[in-house]
Amino acid sequence: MTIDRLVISLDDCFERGQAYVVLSRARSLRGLKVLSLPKDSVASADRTVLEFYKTTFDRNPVVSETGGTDAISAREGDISDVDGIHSVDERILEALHDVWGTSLPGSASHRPSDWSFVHLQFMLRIRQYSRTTVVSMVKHSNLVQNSGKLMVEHRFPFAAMRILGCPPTPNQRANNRQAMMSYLHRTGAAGACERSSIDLGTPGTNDSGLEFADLPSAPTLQSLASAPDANAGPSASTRKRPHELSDLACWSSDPLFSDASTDGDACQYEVDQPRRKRLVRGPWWNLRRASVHSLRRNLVKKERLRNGDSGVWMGSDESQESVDSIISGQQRLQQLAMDDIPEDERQYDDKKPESEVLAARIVDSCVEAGKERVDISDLALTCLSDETLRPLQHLIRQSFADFTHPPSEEEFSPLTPSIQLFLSRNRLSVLPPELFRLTNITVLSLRNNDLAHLPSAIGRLTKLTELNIAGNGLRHLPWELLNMLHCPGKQRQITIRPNPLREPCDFSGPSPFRTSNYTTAVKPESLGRWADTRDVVDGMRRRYEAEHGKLSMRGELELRLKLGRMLRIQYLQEASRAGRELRLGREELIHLASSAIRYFGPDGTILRHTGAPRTETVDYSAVLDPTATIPPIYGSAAAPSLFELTLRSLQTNYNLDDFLQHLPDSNISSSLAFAIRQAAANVAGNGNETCATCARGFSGERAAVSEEGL
Amino acid sequence: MASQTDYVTLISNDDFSFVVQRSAACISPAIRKMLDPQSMFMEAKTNTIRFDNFNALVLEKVCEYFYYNERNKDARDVPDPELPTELVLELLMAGDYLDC
Repeated sequence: MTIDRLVISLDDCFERGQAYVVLSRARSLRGLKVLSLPKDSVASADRTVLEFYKTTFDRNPVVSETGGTDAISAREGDISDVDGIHSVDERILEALHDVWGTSLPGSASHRPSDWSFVHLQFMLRIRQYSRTTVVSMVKHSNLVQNSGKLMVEHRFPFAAMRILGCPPTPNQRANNRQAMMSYLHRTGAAGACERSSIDLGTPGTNDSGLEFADLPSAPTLQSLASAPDANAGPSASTRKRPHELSDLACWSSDPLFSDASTDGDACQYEVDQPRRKRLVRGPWWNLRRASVHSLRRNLVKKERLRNGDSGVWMGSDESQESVDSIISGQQRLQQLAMDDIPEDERQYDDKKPESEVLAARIVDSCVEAGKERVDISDLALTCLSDETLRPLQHLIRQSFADFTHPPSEEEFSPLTPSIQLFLSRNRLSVLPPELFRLTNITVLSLRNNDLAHLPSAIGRLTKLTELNIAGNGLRHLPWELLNMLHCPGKQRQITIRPNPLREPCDFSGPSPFRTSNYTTAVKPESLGRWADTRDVVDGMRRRYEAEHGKLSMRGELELRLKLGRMLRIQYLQEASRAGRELRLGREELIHLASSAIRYFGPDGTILRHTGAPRTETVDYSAVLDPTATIPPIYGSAAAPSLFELTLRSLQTNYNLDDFLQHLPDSNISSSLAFAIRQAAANVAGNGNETCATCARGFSGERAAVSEEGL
Repeated sequence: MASQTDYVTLISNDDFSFVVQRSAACISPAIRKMLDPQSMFMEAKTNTIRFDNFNALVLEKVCEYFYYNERNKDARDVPDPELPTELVLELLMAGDYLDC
């Protein structure tokens, strides 16, 4: 970074790395000119350097985050390669073994030397969503209880509840129980486990699927019973298992606020705690062993409290290394978490097409992992049901999105997700109403589908910043899109073209302004204020009309378009002059032209002016000044008609699809049946929230959208 | 030619009669036509309309709606009246029949 202007030719390089040395001299890209490139043999980086980087830094291969099928296949990959977890407690690995049935190589030899609160926090955060992981966590709730439990309880109560809420299949229950039993036997703790139900501390979920009740009692080999304390609920939060703590002491970071004087208090506190009576079964010598243990426990108490985890982690230089290793381990764990979604946890409908099942699975895995980018593109989906999208309502933002940085301030930001939903390159012709209930969507791509109609409910997605509806069969856009375009203070990107939109006015042929010299008279630079701009355009119109008579439709539209462009340029100029941030979305919407407005009655029939010609083909040609006289509707204009009221009530209170099947049986007039069918279609298209009359004012200002659209 | 009374009588098919104001009842174009003295209908002469297709429950709600509509004719942001969900379909048919 020393030379401002650099012209180099690299074809004389004879060793790897030379090109880099030369290129690194350049101070900026602008000042660099490369005349020739190096030969292929020396073009790449030095192999030993690559190797060094690989071994030193690249211990955690990044999961393909592009989503879609790639991510799925990556998740379904081999999970035996987890030597990144070199600092995890052995017992956790054993439990992982139980849960996943996979041996984890290279783990037993590593001592948990740098296990700390952060570790647990990471661990828990990764595994917060899926049930099996919660099981494995709870099994180690001695660890959880010391430090991480609070997070499960208070930070993600919702996640925990959701997991607990779905009862496992009998098969899973048996598996869980077996795993639990084998674990208890191995640690010799099963004896004290009379009846332990695991409860994550969310009230009301005690009768959930996660219970290991009625475990048969076995002799206690050692009295450090982890199982009865395994319930990490609020009642258990005050109890501590001293022996486990002594194990933990060496893994924990130093307590933040502790000195000799508080040690005594803490001891006192612990002694004063009420202990639960423990029912001990088995021969007396086990009791003896327990007392020996308690003696040892007393001996280590002092030191343990000194080293006890304060629960507050503060980053320091020494801990940086361990954080890195934790992060690397976490990515592996994240992969594991991807895998542990049980196949039979959700009963996928067999009737659904395969692609939809795959989509549902993608959605599920995104929800499980807290991924905000939901990629359901390129699946040849023909339809998408509400059930597939519904889990997205429960998506909680993963607070550590990519695990590449240690915890920071932004970790404590709200967990409201900003969902990015990609439905592009499918064959959707209808959008599910559920889509418009996901108000957290910020990016929505419907590119290259078969949509013929964009529901007006799109206006409900107020958080959208990017919308792509290109490549569909849309003939018109909903009125609500105008509001989305015109939102001061927000930048939105809406991609509309290409679509076979109706062209309200024929723009082919020569412009009426081409012949005479009207347009060159005005330069954008000469424009001062906005009012002047309008004056200039008006002046152009007057001059034209003075010479050629009445301005044609085409000319008028061009004038208005020109006004819009000039206003835009002017706005940009002003913004740049004032040093403001340029926001293209803030331009003024200019009314170009409208087609004649059609009005619909509440029953969906078109209201006509009396005496108006009865034309079946809808005339969408542009009119400059639309005649906005509303044809007389039933009753008074202010109060809704009885028909409308009842139809609306019917729509919200009944399932109209069921209703339609019985329609032929009942003696309902055809017009009524038509109205009900319309209402049903409205429900299907827009969800149940809009009333039947929303489609009444149907005006065609599409020209403004398509021409002034960004 | 019967006199134009202020009140008209609506009779349901189970012989309940509802006496409502003429102006309220005429919210429905169908009733207005029936009561039009020019039409020389029976209903216009007797100021009584007999509905064979509504029972008393429905007709009561319809009358309530008439008054609701008349009261809120020029008001803005009118709250919707409460409609019993079990009667909605019958009310819908009534609304279709009465054009209101």
